[in-house]
Amino acid sequence: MAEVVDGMEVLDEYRAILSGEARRVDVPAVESELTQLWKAAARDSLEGQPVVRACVLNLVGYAQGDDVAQHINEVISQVSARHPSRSIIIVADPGAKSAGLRASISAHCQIPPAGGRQVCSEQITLHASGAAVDEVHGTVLPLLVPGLPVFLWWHDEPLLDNHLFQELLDSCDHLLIDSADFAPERTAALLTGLQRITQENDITLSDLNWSRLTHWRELVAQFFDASPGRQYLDRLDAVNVEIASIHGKKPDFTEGLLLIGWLASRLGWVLEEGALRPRLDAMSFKLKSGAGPVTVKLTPDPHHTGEGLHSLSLRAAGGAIFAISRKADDPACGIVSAELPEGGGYSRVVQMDLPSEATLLSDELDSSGHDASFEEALAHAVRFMDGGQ
Amino acid sequence: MQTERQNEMTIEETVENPLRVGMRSQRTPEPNTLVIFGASGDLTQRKLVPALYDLSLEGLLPGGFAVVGMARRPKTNSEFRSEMKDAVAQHSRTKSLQPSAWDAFAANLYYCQAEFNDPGGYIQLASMLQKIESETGCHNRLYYLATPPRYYSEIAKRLGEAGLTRRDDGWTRIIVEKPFGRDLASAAELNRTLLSVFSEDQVYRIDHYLGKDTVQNILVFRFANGIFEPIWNRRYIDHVQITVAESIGIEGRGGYYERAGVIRDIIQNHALQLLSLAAMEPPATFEPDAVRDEKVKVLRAVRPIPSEDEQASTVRGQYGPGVISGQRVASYREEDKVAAESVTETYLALRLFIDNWRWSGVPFYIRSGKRLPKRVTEIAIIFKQPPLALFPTTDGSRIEPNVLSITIQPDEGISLNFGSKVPGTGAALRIRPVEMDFRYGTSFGVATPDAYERLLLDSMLGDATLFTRRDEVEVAWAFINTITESWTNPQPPSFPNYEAGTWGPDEADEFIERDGRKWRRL
Ligand SMILES: NC(=O)c1ccc[n+]([C@@H]2O[C@H](COP(=O)([O-])OP(=O)(O)OC[C@H]3O[C@@H](n4cnc5c(N)ncnc54)[C@H](OP(=O)(O)O)[C@@H]3O)[C@@H](O)[C@H]2O)c1
Repeated sequence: MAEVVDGMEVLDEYRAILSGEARRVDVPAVESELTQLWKAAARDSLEGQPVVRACVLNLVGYAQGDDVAQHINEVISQVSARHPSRSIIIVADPGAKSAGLRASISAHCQIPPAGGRQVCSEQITLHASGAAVDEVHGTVLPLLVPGLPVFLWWHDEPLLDNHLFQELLDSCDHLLIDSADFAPERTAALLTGLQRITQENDITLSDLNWSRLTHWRELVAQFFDASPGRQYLDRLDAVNVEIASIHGKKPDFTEGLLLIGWLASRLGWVLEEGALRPRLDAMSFKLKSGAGPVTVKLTPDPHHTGEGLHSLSLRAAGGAIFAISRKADDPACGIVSAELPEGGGYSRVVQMDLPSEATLLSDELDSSGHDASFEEALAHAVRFMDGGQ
Repeated sequence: MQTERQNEMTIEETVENPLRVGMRSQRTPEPNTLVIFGASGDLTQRKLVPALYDLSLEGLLPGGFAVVGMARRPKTNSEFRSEMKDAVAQHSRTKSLQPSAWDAFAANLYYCQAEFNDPGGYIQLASMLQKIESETGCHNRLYYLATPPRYYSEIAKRLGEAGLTRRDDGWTRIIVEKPFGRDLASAAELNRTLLSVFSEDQVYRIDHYLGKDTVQNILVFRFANGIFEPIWNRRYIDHVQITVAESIGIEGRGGYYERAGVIRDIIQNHALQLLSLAAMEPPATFEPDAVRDEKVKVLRAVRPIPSEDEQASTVRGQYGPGVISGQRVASYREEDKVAAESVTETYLALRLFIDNWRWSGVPFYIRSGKRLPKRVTEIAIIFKQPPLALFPTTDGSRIEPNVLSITIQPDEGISLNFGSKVPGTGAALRIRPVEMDFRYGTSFGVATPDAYERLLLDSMLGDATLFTRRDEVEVAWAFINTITESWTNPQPPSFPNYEAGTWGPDEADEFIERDGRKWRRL
């Protein structure tokens, strides 16, 4: 970008960036180009187009292929309203024959609902191909804003021994993954490996699949906040989870297993040896609570297509049933009901929107430290996947 | 704000419910029945029922939650539900009504027709509650007085007579809307009546300002950030300005406003709450009583305004006709149910002092009015100028003082003004104020829940931090009394004395300028 900031043309260029256009820049000049951008924006502010640059974290995204990169770009643009950040997106094409690295800068700007100044986040996109992919961390590191937390969002199945992954991990505080994107047969090994690596490096591991459960966990906990529900919590003896199925895809039990892992970790349930019977289309196994056995069943529900959990029911000795189920005709709503043998049951309807990826990411960016509940739930879930090995 | 008590609760509750460990929300209210007195009124329709519906949609209300609405006009349950449906469709925070969620919510809405002074109505209410509770198995009750204030005592007494104020197998609480009294004597009388049938920990006096996130953020901002507390005192602060400006008029509530005026409508409650939050000492813990103790201490330390000082300490105003946002608006005296010669004030500016170590000698200027140019509520802390004018300005003027402003409405945020050198190598050093601005809406782009949602939930959870305690209300009224008593002087101001759409009477400018200060331009 030229130095003549007074020229109208240059100002127009900056305005184009602030309105969302990406602009290609020389890799070594990324930082200075961004400085020019904000200088021009400040000048513009004096002329009545107030702009504020804001940054509360570094978000490094990794994607393979332009489609995924485009998707990441959209998600970050939505997230930036709540978490203004410096985002650095690596678009990798490791299979390319020749090595190459290109950079572009862009901005995500939002005008607050009440009006006033535009608040802008900056984004740097690095297109790396061939051998350059393995070395791109050398470009990323100096671009991180010092003193702010670094989140690495690996939008793919991580390859644990991948050089770039390991290098980036070295300089981040949080690793974000989505186990729903993992191939079911590799999920257990990947999650075990990720848990080990992140623990060794004192990095917080966050799984968007766990965030999908936040509302479910809240609803489950509510059953047992007060009597008369509370007395049944230690006497649960059956858990049934139905998973909405995606046509033509193998059912993904990870989210359901994380939910059961969470119950098991909180309630002290352990896997009964040899009780695991995984089948291709369903899973059932036995756990042991202080009060006796707990039968667990996860089944794909062929009648409900879509993503994620469809229903959960918890049964307690004595016949109490606590259930949460998405409505068949309106999956954005759920029915939450309790049937108690002594009476005093209820049924209510609550909103159960499937959270968007931006919402899930945003929730994870809120977190500032280790989530012990997740780590314990994950440890259990992985054991269920492994069949207790 | 996470209170200490909530923290303690968390630990207790966690023991109670192991699933709550590590969760963001620590508990939901126990099943309860909310009885709204005045269930066809404006507040119920615009605020209460929409807030309840939004809470239920988010899954924040317990299973086994029911509402009984009580009012005078005859109506069936289904008529009541359909009225409430229209109200929710119009006023809910969530844009479109979800039919299945509404149906489930509406199934637990009931209507009880009665005159508030009819003992039979309370017998009918008791039997409705019994029926509902036999289904839910829970006996927790929350009463909400959303009625004209003259019924508060009556309803409390009748509830007492009907034996509806206490149960051994569940909690009973009562929420009292503002205005809480119209002077010290009536507030004290209302307190006595309420406390003859309820205990203080059952009474939740509402000030919906306290349910706003930013108001709670004032405390977090002051006490969680180490850099502000050391300069939050007379040594560094020149004065404080609190503004509660409204552009609307009295919106058809002439009958009420004639008796209230801005001093009872805004100053006695909202403005003094903001004052006490801005000026209070750090509480020992965030337990409701520890926070409220500190707030009361501030109010107790406010120097009464003696009648001979009234002229120097207050300016009253009333709006005449004018133009707001291009619209012609009528004068106050032309409003419905307002006397043609009314001397009710729609604007008040006052200067007060807090006689304690922290604030001795620091004036607090408060102004509030109707039909001002815009709606804005803010607390501005104006810092002292540096003792030495080190940097001469080109035109000989002083550098602007540092100002920290906490905006509560319309968009919540905090901003800090400081001087900075204008870049350039010219011989004269140019210094210009720069604003560092933080808006909650943009930094945490989440829709902040309505204040009533927060307050309803807190009262169901038994957390009284954001409600006003008996002594707090009475101390606030005692101070207000000193002002209103001096107003009974024979010489009322010549009203109207400001044009609608302006920042109040000229006297208000002269008033602050006499002290060598200026109102902030907002
Ligand atoms: N509206 C607001 O935005 C707002 C804001 C802050 C505080 N407040 C306070 O909230 C309270 C209620 O205000 P509002 O504006 O909702 O009042 P409102 O619209 O006048 O409603 C009054 C309600 O009380 C009922 N009622 C009146 N006299 C009755 C009697 N003798 N027996 C039985 N029912 C009777 C009315 O029932 P019928 O319709 O059947 O006659 C109606 O439901 C007031 O204290 C007000 O100061 C209101």
